[in-house]
Amino acid sequence: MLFNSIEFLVFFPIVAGLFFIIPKKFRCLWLLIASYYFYMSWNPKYAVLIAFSTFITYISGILMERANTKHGKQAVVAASFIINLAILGVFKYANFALQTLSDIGAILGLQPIERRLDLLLPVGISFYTFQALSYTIDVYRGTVKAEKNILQYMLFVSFFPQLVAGPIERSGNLLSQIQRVKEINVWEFERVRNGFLLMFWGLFQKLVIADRASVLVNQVYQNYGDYGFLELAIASVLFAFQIYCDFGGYSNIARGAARVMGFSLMQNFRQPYLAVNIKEFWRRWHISLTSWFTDYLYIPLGGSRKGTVRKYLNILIVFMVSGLWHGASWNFVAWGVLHAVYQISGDLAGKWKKRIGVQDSNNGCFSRKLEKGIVTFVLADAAWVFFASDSLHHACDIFRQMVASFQTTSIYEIGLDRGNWFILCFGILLLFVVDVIHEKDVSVFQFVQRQTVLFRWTLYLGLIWSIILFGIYGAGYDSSQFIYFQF
Amino acid sequence: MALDMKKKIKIVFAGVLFCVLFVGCGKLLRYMLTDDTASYTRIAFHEMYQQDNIDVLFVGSSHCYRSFIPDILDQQLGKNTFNLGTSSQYLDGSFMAIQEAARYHEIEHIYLELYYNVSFSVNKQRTELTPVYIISDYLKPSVEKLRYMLNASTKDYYANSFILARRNWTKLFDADYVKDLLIKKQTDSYKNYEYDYVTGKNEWYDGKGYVANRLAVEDWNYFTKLETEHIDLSAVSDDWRKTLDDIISFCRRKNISLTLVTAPMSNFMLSNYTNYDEYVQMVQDIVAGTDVKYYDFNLCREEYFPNASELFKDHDHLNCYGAEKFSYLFADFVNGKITEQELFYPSFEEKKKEIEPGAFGIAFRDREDDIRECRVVSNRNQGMEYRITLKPAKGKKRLIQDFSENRLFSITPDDHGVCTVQYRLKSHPDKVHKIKISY
Repeated sequence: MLFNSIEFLVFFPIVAGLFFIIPKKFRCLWLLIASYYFYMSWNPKYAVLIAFSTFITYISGILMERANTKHGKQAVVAASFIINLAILGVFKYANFALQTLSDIGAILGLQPIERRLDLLLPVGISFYTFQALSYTIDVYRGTVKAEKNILQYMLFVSFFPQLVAGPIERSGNLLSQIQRVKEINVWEFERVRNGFLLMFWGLFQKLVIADRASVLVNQVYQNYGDYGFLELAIASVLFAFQIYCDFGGYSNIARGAARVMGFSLMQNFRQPYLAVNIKEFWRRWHISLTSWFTDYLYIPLGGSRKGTVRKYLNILIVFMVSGLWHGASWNFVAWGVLHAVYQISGDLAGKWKKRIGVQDSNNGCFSRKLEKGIVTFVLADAAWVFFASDSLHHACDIFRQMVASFQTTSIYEIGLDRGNWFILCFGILLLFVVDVIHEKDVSVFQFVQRQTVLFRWTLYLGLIWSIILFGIYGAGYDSSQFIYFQF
Repeated sequence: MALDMKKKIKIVFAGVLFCVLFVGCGKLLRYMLTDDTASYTRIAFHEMYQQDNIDVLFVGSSHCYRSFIPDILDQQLGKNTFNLGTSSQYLDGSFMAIQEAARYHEIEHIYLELYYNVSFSVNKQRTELTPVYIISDYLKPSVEKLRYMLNASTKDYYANSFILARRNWTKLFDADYVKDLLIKKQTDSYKNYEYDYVTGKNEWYDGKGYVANRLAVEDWNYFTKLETEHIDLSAVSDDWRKTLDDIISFCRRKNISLTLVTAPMSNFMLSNYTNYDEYVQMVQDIVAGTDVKYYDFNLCREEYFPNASELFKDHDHLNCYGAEKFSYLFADFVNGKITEQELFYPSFEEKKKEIEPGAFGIAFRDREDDIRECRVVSNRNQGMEYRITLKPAKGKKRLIQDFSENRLFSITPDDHGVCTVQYRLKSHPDKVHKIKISY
């Protein structure tokens, strides 16, 4: 059940409506049932996996609290990690590993491994596995107490707004809110309204911008041999907006849906394309995953505490793992490595400038920020080529074609006509304006709230009708899944 | 506490007001973007709602609204008749029209026009929804309407079905289109459902659902794409059969007499098919054992309704002269002035045997290998010989075949010119006829 489907349009009002109507003691159970129904709408069999993962981490939490020794706790957390990562590994990485072994074998002149596992990747497995594991570590570290109420814990792992594509929540935030579910007030009008507004903004990002951009991106990337530098560059730039609006849109719908029901999910994106360097980009992009890797991988590896070489190695490991987390394919690994290289290079360049005493007298001025922002965007966008491609080979071919061909085609002949271009450009401009407002530390909600009723309601109606009229959905369009569902 | 209640009331009121404004915006966008000024069905459904009482209702596809003239039938039958036929009306559309008319009128008799081509439509496989929309757009809200729209397609089409403005969103950027449309919609003619915008030089809406056309086929010289010469009865959809059952049950429940009819088509169309009688038989079998009758007016004897080109606007539909002649004939049949035995041949094959031998044109289909397969359509399966000559637009005239029973030949889709078909009965080789067909 996609957020941009008719099913969700029926599902969500029923779930949210009944959530407020039913006796407060049943709220948790009701959301749990709804969440499992939501997840099982993809494939009922998936429920077994998520239930198993939930059970393992739930038991781990309790056992860790009961364990008297550090070794005992370590054994439990290790067992929980091994089991959960084994499930993730089998379902997501087994065929990738077999393929890689086969390729290595071929280089060494060995017989190729023909066998592959006939497994369907469960939707959102990477997200809920990481969320459940973060709970295990938090209990191990003593930052949260083990949850005794199985229903509440099950809801923490399976809470439907963020179940399949995040944000990857921490128990300190979401679980504590679930524990106070009875206290949520139905009549907090502003909260409900802002929740819906966030959902509609997310739908606008997804249906009007991301899916419209995807029409052109798919057309050009799938037929890259027919196009030259300009078209491939346009497609690559649009992919940057596609993936931002796709994933950012999903996160906003998730946060909005949760907010309507009285839950506050963490912010997952903070104007990523306004970053002025790659390090900052990663503090703004997929924040819940970046912070997960920082807290549970980078810092345990030693972070920056064990010297420069070790720091760079840690960065490389984290980004390689992050690439693999996004997809079991070498192009994702390359995407991760490229970002690691960006960060390491940036760090080295900074140190080198310091050493030779170069000082930027214009640092902080608008033009310098703009230059840096453009460079950062170009670097991030170049890396997106690996992300958007089907394989490493495909990505390399696209780069090759970019430098080999400079033929041009009318922009109206690469998937989008004049009307669609107009809406896409308008959408991106609107996105930019909203991001700039946020960058100024002004909440768009508060900004809207300060306006007249006429302005506010025109905005609400305009937003909803824009989605209805200009959204890419239904007959004549391929209903696009959210890109991050595959991770 | 009082303040709390006041706030709650304010929230509910704001919610309701927002919904009203939301719907209002939708209506405004529909008004700005949807051009229904030239829609026959908009006026037909409006007139249906305005009628005192409809006694006799006709429903079906374009053959229906081009064949049954309510003004003539009112006089001849002494009843108030109405034609709710619409273009390519699928059977579920017919059922919807029947239900809607029955909500507002005490209908005595319904004539359901059956066009074989709509019997293959599978609701959930439809990609062309215009035949659905030209009905649903003009219906008043009801549960039946909702059910009809939900069942008429897959959910991918729901947005277009329920939000009319979405179908035409690109026009939002066409200021001339919006301006012209608003001007048209502001006219009294549009607002009062007058006929100005549905009256053309050769075709016009003539009231009570009937659409007249004065064009006439000059001669039988068609060159038309007809994919097959065999009606695949195994492809008749379950949706069609179920809906037909539903219509029969509905009419029985409402105490409405139901008769199935097929309006006349040209011999070109029906002679193309080798098994048209099997379709007729299939419908007869469906209604066997019920009180529903089926009459196919394609089986009319020539003396009652000849296959004359001047009665048809094209190979498929009657023109206004044909419709007039047919409506009188139909009334005479309903009034019992002509019996079934007098009026109809037992089968189309028998009709073909008894009428004058003739060739009516060429049907073709395009193969994937860039070959256009052509076949001469005649009313003799055997015993007729054809001599086929092609005169391409550029090039010399060439003889495809001398007189022989073969009636198939091939060209490419790019070929254009004039094809001359000479034909004769084997039994009368001296009597040669000729048709010329542009291809």
